[in-house]
Amino acid sequence: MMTPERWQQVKGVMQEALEIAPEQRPAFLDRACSTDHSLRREVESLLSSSNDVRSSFMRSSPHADLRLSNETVLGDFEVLSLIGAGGMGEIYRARDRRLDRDVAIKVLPRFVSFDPERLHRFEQEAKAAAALNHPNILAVFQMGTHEGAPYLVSELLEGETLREQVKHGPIPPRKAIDYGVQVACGLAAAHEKGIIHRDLKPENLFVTRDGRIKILDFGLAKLTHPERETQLTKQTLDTEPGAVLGTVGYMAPEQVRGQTADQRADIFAFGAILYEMISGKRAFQGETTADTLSAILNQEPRAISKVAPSISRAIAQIVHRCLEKNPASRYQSAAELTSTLEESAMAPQALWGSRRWRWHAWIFPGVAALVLVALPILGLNLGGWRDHLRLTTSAVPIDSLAVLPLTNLSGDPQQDYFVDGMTDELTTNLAQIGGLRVISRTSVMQFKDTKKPLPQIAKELNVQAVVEGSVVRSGDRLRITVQLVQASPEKHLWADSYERYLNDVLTLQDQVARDIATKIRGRLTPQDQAHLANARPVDPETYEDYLKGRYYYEKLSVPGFQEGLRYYRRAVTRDPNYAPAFVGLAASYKDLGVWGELLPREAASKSKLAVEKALSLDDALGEGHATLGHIHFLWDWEWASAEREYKRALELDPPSSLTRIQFAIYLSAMGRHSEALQEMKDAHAIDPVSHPSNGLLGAVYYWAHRFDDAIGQFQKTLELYPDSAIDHKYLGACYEQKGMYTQAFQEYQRQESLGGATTNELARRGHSFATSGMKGYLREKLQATVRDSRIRYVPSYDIAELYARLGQNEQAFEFLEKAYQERDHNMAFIKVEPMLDGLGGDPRFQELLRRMNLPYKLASIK
Amino acid sequence: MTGVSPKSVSQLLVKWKDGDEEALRALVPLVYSELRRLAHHYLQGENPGHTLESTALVHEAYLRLAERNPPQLQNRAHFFAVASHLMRQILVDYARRKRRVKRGGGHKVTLDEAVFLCRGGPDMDLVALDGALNELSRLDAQQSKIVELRFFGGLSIAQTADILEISPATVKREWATARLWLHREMNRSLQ
Repeated sequence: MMTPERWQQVKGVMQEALEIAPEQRPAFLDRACSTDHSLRREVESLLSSSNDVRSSFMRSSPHADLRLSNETVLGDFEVLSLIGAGGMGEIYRARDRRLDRDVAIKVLPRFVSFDPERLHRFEQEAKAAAALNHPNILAVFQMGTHEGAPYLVSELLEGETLREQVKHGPIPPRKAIDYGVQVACGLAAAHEKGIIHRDLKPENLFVTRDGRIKILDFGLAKLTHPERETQLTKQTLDTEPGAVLGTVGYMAPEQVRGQTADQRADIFAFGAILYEMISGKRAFQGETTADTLSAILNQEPRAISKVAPSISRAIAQIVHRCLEKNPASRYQSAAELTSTLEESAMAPQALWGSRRWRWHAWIFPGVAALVLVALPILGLNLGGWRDHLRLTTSAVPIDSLAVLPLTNLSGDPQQDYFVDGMTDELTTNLAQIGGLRVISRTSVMQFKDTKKPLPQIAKELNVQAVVEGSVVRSGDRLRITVQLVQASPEKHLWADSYERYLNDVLTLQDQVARDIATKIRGRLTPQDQAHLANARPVDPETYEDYLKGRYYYEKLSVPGFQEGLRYYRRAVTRDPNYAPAFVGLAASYKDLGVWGELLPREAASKSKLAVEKALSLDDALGEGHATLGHIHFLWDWEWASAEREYKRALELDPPSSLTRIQFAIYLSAMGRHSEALQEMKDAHAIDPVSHPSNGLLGAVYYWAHRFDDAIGQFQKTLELYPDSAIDHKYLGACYEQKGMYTQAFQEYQRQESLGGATTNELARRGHSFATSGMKGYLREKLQATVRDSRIRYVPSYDIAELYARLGQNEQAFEFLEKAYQERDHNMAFIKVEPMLDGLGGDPRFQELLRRMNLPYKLASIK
Repeated sequence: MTGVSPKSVSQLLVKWKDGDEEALRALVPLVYSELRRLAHHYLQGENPGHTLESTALVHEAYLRLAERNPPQLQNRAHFFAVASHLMRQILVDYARRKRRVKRGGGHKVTLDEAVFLCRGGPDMDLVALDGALNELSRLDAQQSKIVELRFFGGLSIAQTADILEISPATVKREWATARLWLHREMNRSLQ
């Protein structure tokens, strides 16, 4: 136990050590601690704790004495706090006031700016790095100088450097290879643009909390050690123990010799890093810097298969090929390296090592039960398991997939919204993968809590594989377990579990999606990678409110919309810059309008306000453009704008079945029936069993006046959703159009009884139909509606349609005009609505179409 | 402030400054109630989503108390010393209670306590910090006081130096080493 006296001693040495540059410290400690090894250990342990940038304690403390103080403003950025400091400069957390996000600002040592030539090179490199838009490279937003010191503004990362991770020994093989693949991907992107890192080392690789690798300091190496390439001979003479150790161990032989280094030097460094991740040991390490450099030039590292026997031969070969002394013998490009590494990562042995390791990681008791269930599947004997894996890697390629609703294992039904939200995100993320058909969540949700066997579910959804899994949430910790199962023949292809903090949930979802996608695809194209790397940072509470909003909204009922609205509002109050929540608000208002709960104008204006805010925050939100499309279509009657928004939405978010369906409805209303049908069929392929994709396909047939097809489709829909009033109504309408009044009447009655009509009302309608046929029924219905309109708001359009069906055209026009004034969304369909066909020949109808900018000639449709 | 004469406030401050822990105990209810009242006020205010920094609260509490007792509270620094200590207690108590509530027992967090939710990130373990600070005060009472002032009171190096009547350079050095030590202790407690 430390005594106050000892602490004074430790503190004294530490304070002196802090005064000098980090490189000088080992030498200083040699002198200061002499033979007192425990003193040295204590001081070193304390000094190294400052490397940890995660400490919120460091972050939240003010530092008046540093280059930038709190509230320093650099352009759009307001400095908040210091994150870390070292020989390479200081790093601050800052707020980007324009985009309202937190960023990191790195201020370089002032000496850098003394040399204009160097500064120029720095700018060049920083610009190049800024152009490197890749998920595995630290994103650089801006650069500038502040009081003579150059600074860089970049994305803010939470996590630790790879150095921290390798400190504790080898990294599990699968993880190491995953990191390796990510580094290689980042390098490939940089090399493609002619940018070489030249100083790749574990200190320059950052592992974010969700396991994503970011390469740091592109181009800075050249700047802060400008003479490295020529001055190495001088460094070789520097025999101070440990002084530069850790920075020279990753240099390629040609760099050590001071020769020009190209991208193959990065590949050498990569090999040294992979070697260290897998084995926990440096590839080249000598007592002194000189020894290390000499080892790089003259010695082969110990065979990695000796240091890490569990590693597959393929991986060992890759490592050693990267470490070839002669650049010409290494991989010639990072792209080649990436693909080889990814291929070998799929080999069974490479996976095996990690799986064993992974089972130790189970923490939550709730998951223990799952382990017991999973073991019979995964815990096969070694040989059997290997064969199993080998079999699965050579299995048929998967191009269709369904993510089944994840199971909430928290034991708290209140968490359902959260788990459903995760299912949703996972689906959306996976659907971004090119060429992979992912069943829309609206269809998959039909199988929530189902007892059906997987192969049958897969068959009903027409997919080759399913993803299933569970989520346990405990406080701010989260564990998700997923597995990928091939349907026929049933085969478990992959399983994994992840544990994270709640505020990492978005990136976690990306990671899971990426792992699944990699498993299916073997490797991902850069486009896929980019799509998967689009998680927007959001505060966990805001995100929870958003998920709750979504959960209620998707109940697709008026109370659901209202409850959803409440949560979306709360989300935007918490974070007025969280665009998806504004889209949620817009969608809720829109549907409250469509469902008659809000007056059309109010729904339109509120919805539009919210969606415009959303798009001003993030123009790349597919759902936002889709919602704006609906507003232009249903209430603005600005057809071209609507179409433009729908198309933009589909471009941004191709797998969204709902957007496609809405676009199809728009096409129908425009009279473009064959295009509408094509869109509906595309939507149906990814969303085979959901209510919208079935019911609205019927509606598209109906508007196209293809009543037999429509009847077939509505009957099919009603098999799936027997209690859907709207489908009974449309089915009735089809029968009415065909003159099959009895069937029509029955469907209408069913619709009304589902809609809450009293027995009395139903009886009155029945009497009218029995005595005076369809006309009698319609007259009775009209009277009831008009009566109703005296007590509450009844859309004029409803009345207009009843008059039209009764052939009372004068009144029909009168109410259509009112509906036009009300901006009723049903007006958008008048061109194709079969119930209004009787008005088509009247010039007043043509005039109405003209006013609405709907092209004439209704007759040509029929 | 009922029942306590303004005179006694300033006396208590001086006594506490001279190392009388009893004096601090007597001061606690005064400043504590003011801090809580302010917290409550913020929560009831027009802008409930507003992020509330404990240091901002300390500053506002000072302004309010100083307004009421202008001659007695001239020594702004002393006030901050008291308030920083209290803020530490309030925050740590809150964090403890939150933990207890999470485990299913304990009483419900009241509104004005909930306001402190805003303080610190999700990864900020105040209870661990408090424990580490207690240990530090055993090793070096002055260092622990520096942390209290800087961290919980939001005081600058210069202000801290003023209160403790030591040089800013010393504060800086002590603060730097205390931080490293606390940081390591807190990380250990996580493992």
